[in-house]
Amino acid sequence: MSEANPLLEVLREPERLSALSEASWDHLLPMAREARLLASLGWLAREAGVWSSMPVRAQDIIRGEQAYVDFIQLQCRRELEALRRVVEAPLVLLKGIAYLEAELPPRRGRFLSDLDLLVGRSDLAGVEQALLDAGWISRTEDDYDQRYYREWMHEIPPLVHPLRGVEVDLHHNLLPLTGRYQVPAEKLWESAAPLEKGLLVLSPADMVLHSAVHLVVADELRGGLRDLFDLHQLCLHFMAEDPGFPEQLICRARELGLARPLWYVLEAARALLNTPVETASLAGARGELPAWPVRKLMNHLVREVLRPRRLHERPPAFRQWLLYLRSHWIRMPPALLASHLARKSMVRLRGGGKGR
Amino acid sequence: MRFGEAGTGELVSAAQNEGLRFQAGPFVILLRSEAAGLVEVFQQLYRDFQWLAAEGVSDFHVSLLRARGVRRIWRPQVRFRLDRDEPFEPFPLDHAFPLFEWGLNYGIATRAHRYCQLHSAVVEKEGRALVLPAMPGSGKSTLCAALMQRGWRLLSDEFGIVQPESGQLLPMPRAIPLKNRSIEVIRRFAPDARLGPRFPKTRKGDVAHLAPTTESVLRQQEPARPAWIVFPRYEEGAGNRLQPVARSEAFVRLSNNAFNYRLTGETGFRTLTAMVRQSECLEYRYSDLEQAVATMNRLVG
Repeated sequence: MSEANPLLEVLREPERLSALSEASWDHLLPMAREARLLASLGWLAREAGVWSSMPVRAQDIIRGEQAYVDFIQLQCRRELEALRRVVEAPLVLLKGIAYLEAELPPRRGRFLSDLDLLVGRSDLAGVEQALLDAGWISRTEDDYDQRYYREWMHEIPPLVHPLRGVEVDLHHNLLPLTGRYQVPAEKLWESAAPLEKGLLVLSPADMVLHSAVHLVVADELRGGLRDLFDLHQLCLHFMAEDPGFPEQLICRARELGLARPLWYVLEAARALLNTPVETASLAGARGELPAWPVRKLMNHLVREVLRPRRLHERPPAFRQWLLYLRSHWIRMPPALLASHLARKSMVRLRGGGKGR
Repeated sequence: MRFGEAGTGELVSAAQNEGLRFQAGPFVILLRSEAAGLVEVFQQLYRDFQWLAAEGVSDFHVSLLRARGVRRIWRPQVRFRLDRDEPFEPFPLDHAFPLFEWGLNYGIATRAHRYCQLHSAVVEKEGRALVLPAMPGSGKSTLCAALMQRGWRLLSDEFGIVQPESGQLLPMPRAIPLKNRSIEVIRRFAPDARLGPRFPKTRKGDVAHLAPTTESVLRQQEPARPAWIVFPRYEEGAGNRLQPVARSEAFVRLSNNAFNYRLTGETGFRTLTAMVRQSECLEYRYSDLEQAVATMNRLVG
């Protein structure tokens, strides 16, 4: 299934970048761009010592994307600085901005679409008000969308400073309030690691778990390969620091009730990227994993949707739709889900805003 | 083989299958098209470009696809696709060529950040480049077309592509879109100008494309040093006035007008300051193209 997929091959073994034919490059570059991994390829190549053996045209295409990603990263770091001038409450950095500030391997060439921050539930209203007072605004004007976020989600509607345009997502938890998986936020705070005054990042195990559940619960897995590659790099990094990391990860997943999403994602990471984390011990406890046929089907769907495609291959629309339904299924009870999807398809039919 | 030497039927069929691959300056483009009309215009305007083998790395994978659905019978449309993205609404089918040109510009402006991209026309004489930044109402495309028809080499009518390491301007010859009155102006100014068909009532009014001169295409891998930055302004009855502009002001105007100045950060700043330092910076008001060409020729000395 995954053989001769040039993007997966070079993500697994970056040295292979030195031995690609021109035709493979022409498949690889658009695939990497679509997966938002084009700038990362440049880093992988340099670290593997093969950058200078690559075709100059490939280098130029990658350098263009690297300049863009550098700019986005700079903008996000500046946004964090601006935000910290008006916010006193402690903040846990999540995803891209956490990798950047904690200098973790996934930061290399990583595109950030927004600034994700975890705020203590009791601090949330104060932080939101401080930002609004300092000129940030909410672009979510629709009452339904406001309610959708505040009552059912784990974050408030995104805030944006109109002069800078970087979206700030304030989370009070990692997962939706209505969802099937619930993580007590206090536990995350307890084990979070301080970076500098007032800034923290999740503990290694929690960081990997967040990356995994985000993938499973996300609206669309398009672009999910990037998240899977984040997780892959985090696992390699934390395992190099501490060989006992996989056990801690699995232990923590059980403790937080996240064994099932972690299992799905690790299976996909092993199949697509050869991530060397054993999943056997996760399958141990009864009831933690779904029945065998569901497992098989889900593994197939997830891999097929995450597998990068050449330009002339069709994207897996139907499978994507199944997983889209599923992501909502996890996030909301059935009755709420039905009314939410009905409403969103009405809005879409009328040519209204983007569906959530 | 050059596109002008190929049979039109051969090109139409290649465009529908493996695609037409060609190089414009630093970029290689793979163009697929289901619109045969586009290929005919393309062949006319890109006749001097080398037809490359379809295999190999391309910077831009562009497809122009017939829109599906019942509307295709009574109102056929064409979609622009870059990789798998479709950033624009469909166009009427007979406007496929201008859609291709705009779409390719969009691709360059949003992706080619490996270079500093000025929003300027650039022409060259004796190895020295004349940069004409685009300000609203500047008439830079018309002036650039006129200079090209009188022997200046076209680098680009839209993108001043600067390679940061060398500070040199890279050519990217393409068809020059002339709008509305400019079409007649250039036709009268240079009766031998190779103009493509007129596309009426596009987003930007009537458009007709001017083919780059053969010399501009054959020398498209030869960069040029920036020598003059001239801010043109067309004004009826303005006469012919060339005035120096302070370098600091030229820098501000040039950077405000660049496509990716903010994005390229320090690299952009260094590249543009170096460019302004080594160039003569001028402001130019003109009302007559013949006079304008003579004035620019005098810069070369």
